[in-house]
Amino acid sequence: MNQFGLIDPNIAEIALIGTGGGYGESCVIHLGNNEWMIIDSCRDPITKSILPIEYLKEINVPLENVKLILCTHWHDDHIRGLSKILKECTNADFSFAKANDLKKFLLLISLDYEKINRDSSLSSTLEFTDCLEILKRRNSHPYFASQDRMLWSKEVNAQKCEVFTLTPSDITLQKFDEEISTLISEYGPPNRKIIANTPNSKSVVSFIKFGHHRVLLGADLEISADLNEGWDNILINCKSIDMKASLFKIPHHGSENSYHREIWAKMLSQNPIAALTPWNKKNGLPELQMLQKFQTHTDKLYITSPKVNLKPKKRHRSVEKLIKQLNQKLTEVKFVKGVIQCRIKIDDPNDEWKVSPLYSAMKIDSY
Amino acid sequence: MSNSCTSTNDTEQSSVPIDADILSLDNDYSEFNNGNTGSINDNVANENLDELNEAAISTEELIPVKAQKITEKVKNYIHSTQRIKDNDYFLSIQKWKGVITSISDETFEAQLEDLINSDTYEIGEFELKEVSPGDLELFKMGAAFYWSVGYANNHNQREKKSIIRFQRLPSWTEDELDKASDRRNDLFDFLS
Repeated sequence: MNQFGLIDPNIAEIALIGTGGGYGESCVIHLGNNEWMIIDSCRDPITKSILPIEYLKEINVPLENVKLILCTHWHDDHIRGLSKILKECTNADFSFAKANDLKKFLLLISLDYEKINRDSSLSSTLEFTDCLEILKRRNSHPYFASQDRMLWSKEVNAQKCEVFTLTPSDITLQKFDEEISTLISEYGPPNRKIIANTPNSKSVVSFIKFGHHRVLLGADLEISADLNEGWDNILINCKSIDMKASLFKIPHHGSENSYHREIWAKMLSQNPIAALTPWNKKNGLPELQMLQKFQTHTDKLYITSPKVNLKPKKRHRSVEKLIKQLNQKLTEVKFVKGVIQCRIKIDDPNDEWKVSPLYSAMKIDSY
Repeated sequence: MSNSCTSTNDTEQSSVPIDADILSLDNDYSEFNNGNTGSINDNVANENLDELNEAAISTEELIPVKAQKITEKVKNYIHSTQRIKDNDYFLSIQKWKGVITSISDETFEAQLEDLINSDTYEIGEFELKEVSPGDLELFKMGAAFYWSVGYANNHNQREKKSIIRFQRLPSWTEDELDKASDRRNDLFDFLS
């Protein structure tokens, strides 16, 4: 199959990996010249395999070709398996959003780490702390992601390829310092698990330049009430955006709170490729009205897996019956793997993205 | 499906193979009672024919032996039931570990890990009134609890039950806080 063949060094690739929501998402990126980048991580809850590694193996990419790993969020739910990726990708630099009050942030994750000895299921930052420990052992310093920070720059066939982060803003970092104190007092005790809060203005958005092509990866960023945070800050203050993007990873599962009309008007080209991952919890995301809204902006809308009907987990009949009789509401967070693979020639400004929806991924024609 | 029986009066869980005994007893009883007249049924008679010949035991003499075995089993069962019925117990047939993820006026939601088959996880919605008064102080966002569903035996009356027990862990010890502090300092020195 072509999509699993060796990639041409001149072909840029963005592969968005989804799990159906609840088990994370990840992006695997070919930066050109057989050098790769991974953003976040996700894991199959049944086989425990790390999906970005699995994908790279499927397309015959040796892990030593991974040169950059970006962690957009420190909570385990977003980066499960990331420490294993970092451990196996021995040539990779590591980037994450730094906290201004680093000492306080490290206290939060160090206390969280101590929960291993009491009850490891209550720790939410194990992956992140393990990543830092790996870096320490390697004596490899991380790159701190922030507004307009360049993480990567190389030439591919005389074309510049660069990776920028657009968030978090200075104001977001400042506010996070205040939030850390609250997190320590609320979730520092050994019997409490850190619950990730929204709106998620700390999520790291990346902007990638492949010659004349641009890619905007929206991570989980939502709109903030403060114009100096979130998408408004990017639209108003970011300097590294020089051209409109032709490929957009829609943020936060297409939620209403991550939608900003100006992103489509000012940051994206006409009829761009738009990809998103679903969230199969509660009422589920994306909502139908949001899909319809996206379809007013593009007819090239892709999702890593369809929304599933939320049902209880299958169990022995007598157990199911008892749960029903006790009037307990239970829904299973199903794992559904999907990959949206997008490829384009770096040195051809007129080339268009070739999109291959793999596994459960699909194009949304009508909803 | 695993069944475990917990005596609610004990501090430790103990496994009592009650169902296995009942099953065995039922099998024996139906085998014995097939003829309804107290005489052994044909199948058993045929199976034991060789034994009968060897031991020169008549068919009629086998019946008391069988009856005696069953009587012993019945006595043991009554004895074990007698011992247990003095305690109320809870027979759990499914158990989860949960973490509270949201709280509203009358309900709360939790992320649940199935402790019998922990692959995919579940989201459960519970009513606030399901939280025991003794656990209310622990009822917070991120708090962990165990949730079991099963059958409770209350003075020999069986009823369906759903039980939530919040996890109680002692506060951090000085040693643990020192370790966290050391890790924090090491990482800070490295990163700054």
